[in-house]
Amino acid sequence: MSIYGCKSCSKCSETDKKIEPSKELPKVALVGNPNVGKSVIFNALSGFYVEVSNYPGTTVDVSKAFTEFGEIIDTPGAYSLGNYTDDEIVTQNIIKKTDIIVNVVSALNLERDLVLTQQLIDMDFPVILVVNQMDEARRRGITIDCKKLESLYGLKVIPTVAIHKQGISDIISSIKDNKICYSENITPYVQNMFRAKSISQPEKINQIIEIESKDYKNREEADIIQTERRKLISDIIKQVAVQTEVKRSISDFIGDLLLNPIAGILVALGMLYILFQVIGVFVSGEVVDFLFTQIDEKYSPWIESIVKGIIPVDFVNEILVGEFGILTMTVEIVIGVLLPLITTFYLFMAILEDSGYLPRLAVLTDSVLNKIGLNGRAVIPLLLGFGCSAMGTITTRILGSKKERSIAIAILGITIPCAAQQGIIIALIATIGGFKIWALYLAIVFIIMVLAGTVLNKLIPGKSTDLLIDLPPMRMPLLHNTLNKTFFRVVNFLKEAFPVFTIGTAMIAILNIIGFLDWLQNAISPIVVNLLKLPAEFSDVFVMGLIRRDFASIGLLEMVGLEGSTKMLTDVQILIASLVVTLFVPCVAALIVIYKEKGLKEATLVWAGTFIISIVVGAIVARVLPFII
Amino acid sequence: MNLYEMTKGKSAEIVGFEDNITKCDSLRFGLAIGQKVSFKSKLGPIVVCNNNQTIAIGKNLSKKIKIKEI
Repeated sequence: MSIYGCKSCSKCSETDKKIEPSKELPKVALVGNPNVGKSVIFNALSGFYVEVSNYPGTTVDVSKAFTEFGEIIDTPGAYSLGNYTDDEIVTQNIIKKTDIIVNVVSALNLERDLVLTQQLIDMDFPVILVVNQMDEARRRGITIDCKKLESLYGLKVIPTVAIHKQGISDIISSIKDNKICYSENITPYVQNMFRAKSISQPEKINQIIEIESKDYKNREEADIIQTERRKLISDIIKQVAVQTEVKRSISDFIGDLLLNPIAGILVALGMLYILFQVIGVFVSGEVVDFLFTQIDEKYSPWIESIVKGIIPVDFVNEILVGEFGILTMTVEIVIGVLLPLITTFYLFMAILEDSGYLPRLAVLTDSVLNKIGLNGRAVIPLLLGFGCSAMGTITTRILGSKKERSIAIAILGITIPCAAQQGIIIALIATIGGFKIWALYLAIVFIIMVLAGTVLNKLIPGKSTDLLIDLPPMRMPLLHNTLNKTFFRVVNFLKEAFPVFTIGTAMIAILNIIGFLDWLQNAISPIVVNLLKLPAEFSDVFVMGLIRRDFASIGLLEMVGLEGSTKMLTDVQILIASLVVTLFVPCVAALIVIYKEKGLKEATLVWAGTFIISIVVGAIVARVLPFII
Repeated sequence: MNLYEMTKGKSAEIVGFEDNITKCDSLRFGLAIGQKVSFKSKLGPIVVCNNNQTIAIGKNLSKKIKIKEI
């Protein structure tokens, strides 16, 4: 498919605006400011699913999909095409290799979003301008004349409500029918700059990027261009947008309420309480109990009889269907215990992410996080880390400096338990004292987080940035998106957990058979028994924790008698063990992500640091907790 | 006066920035010289409204944005 300037538009004559025909499908990049709906449009165009949430910075990775009309590329949100953030650099690198740009702007913030549009126009890109969130704009009394906008820019302008797939077919037909224009509404200073000499498009792109970069020396020139762009945009807005007064909506009221310190803290505590009641009381008490019993009483004996009938070798039977059997223990753990816990946790997180609550929590927590070298924005990767450490670690890309990323990644590695682990810990703690004990557990983890952050803030060189974040409107999470997101996360978890748990259980079974676990119990009993005041059997949990933290938590479940086994731990020991497991080394998947994001040295430091901290904290709480509970 | 000193319930016009980084950061969020903002809340960061946009700005950064109240 070849792409030319649209033939229907007089401004785009084929001769002077032709771009090189490509034998392959055109590369179509979705570019725009954060939280304008690029990923929703990507999903609608491609039929694939990438995560969509209601906070700026959801997309931290580039997603690609091949369709019949082109290769669609979803980019991280960028306010500009300079080099101020990683997202801006990623986006500018993508657009350099792109044939068509679908520039998504929000009808709610047209004046802000058109700055990026103007930069793309100045770079001489063929652009389709998609004005998304038109429904929300209407509700807020904003009317946008897209036809007028189209004639003023000389670009194809498509109004959309992407979440309801309105306008998506227009985007597809515009790409298919080559209705892609080059605007002549170039910033005057840039126009003069390029008019003087014959410059190719790649050179134009590079020059604009240079002017937008933070190291550009000629600030006066950059200021002139910015001022001219703003004037152009302001003139356009006056002609196309009308704002009328409307009554404040419930969403506005809730959004404002969450910015009140007292209401905000009460809501945060209320949500923790609900989370505990749902996961700790209902899911772990009723759902897990039911599922586990069904598997334990019906599936496990059934598979055991089949395997023993086919394979009459005790050693193999022990590995497959024994105490730590691959076909028994893995299924009991993953399906019977983890699946209901993580599904509930992911659902809860998806609702929070889609509601617009996270950026407001960033405002509430900013002052506290400032003390450990972070700003409120860090609450987003930290909270996402409660879903999955690896996901939280990747999301630290939204933070403004290397120092902040290093601190946040270390904190994620040290103190934040993942969904599966947290679900099990809530279930464990529910057996010994309810919400109060969980609050104590959270308080201890929080203190360690603050201490670790304070030390890291002093040790790691560099500067931290200030909070600067858009607060999107509060929205009622859409059922299909919430369920989709939960479903894909659960599927990803199962894909990752099943093989690891299978290998892990096989390894534990083999170590048990060859007597290594007994040897290990004796070898590390000084640490486990004397230092942590836990039974020697806890050393098995250590081995399981080296594979995955949630796997270690499963080991704990056995020790507290939740799986029909004998209870080996006292209430105090359960809390000590939960804390040690929480603070134990990151799982292999998270470690790989830390290695990819920050290199071998930092990954090794996080691993070793978490190991030491978990033992030290365990030893301290083992001596203090008996006086508290 | 700076943005952090903005009075509760008031509106203000941005008149300048202390340094270039602050200016570029602010521009990305539509906070340019001449832009009018209204006070929303202050809990450490100050939260202001700019047209239909609500923006939270950290304490230190907001002190580098010069305003006049209107």
